[in-house]
Amino acid sequence: MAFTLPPPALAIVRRYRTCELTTINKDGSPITWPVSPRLLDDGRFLITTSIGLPQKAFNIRRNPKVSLLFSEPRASKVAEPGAVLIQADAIAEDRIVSDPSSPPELADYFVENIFARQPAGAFMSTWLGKKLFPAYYMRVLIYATPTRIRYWPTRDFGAAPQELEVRRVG
Amino acid sequence: MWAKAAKAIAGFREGVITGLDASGYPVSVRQTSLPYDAKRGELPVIIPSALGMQAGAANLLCHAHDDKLWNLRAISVKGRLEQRGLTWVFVTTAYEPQSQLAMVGKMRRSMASYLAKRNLPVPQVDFDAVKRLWARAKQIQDP
Repeated sequence: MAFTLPPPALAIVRRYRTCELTTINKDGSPITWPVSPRLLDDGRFLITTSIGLPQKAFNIRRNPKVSLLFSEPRASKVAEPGAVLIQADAIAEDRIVSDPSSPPELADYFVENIFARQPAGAFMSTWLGKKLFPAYYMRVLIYATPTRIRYWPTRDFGAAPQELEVRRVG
Repeated sequence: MWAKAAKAIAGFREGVITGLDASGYPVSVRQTSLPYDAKRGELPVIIPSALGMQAGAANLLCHAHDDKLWNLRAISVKGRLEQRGLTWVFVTTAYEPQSQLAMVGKMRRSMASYLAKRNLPVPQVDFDAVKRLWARAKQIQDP
């Protein structure tokens, strides 16, 4: 991994249920969505988007600059609920993945970050779920490589955050 | 003038303001109060100078979920960030409320368009794999 997070910051990144992902629109304006990313062992973040909501992927293919703000602690049981802001370069794959068990990191993402945390999501496998949201499991994979990380140890977001070191890899 | 935006924002206790820094990367800061002025469409926001935020295009996202990551709610307001002296203000430029029903239709149309533009058939989802992953997830005690 190209960075080391203090344990409380790592807990935030691993346990917060959502973060705020921002991509950049064609007109240069930022657009932000709540998403549930997964921190991979190599330090990248895996994010996925359905082909029913492809704007994130379109924006990243045009401009790879993104940010992820982990700032919503609900349900995370994090003892020190601050925030982590990650700026990153992202890629959005061309392929559409419709087998959630492959690649392995996608299986882990669905099991640990989505299904275990969102039990009502089983609705998407029901007859009605499939009818209403046929694209739910048709995913584009997005990988974000951090370039800059800042950390607020507390919820005083008016204070200057701590800058954490990110080493360039490759 | 921005009554609909004000009503939507009032449904949330907090929000996230995002703009861009000098290198063109997005920068987000959570706001723990949302004193939105419905007449002016303005929201004073707190942004630490260390973030290097630049005046210009911005947005406000408010979202919420319950303890089981369900009952998801979100609104997005377009605007711009202005620096007035030592303070920052988010100025609304557009807000379009969207119903969940409209979202369902939009997602279906986006899927069809995505596939049609690439001349791709509708992918077959491996629901046996989905079932296996759900079985794994049910073994997790403290997600």
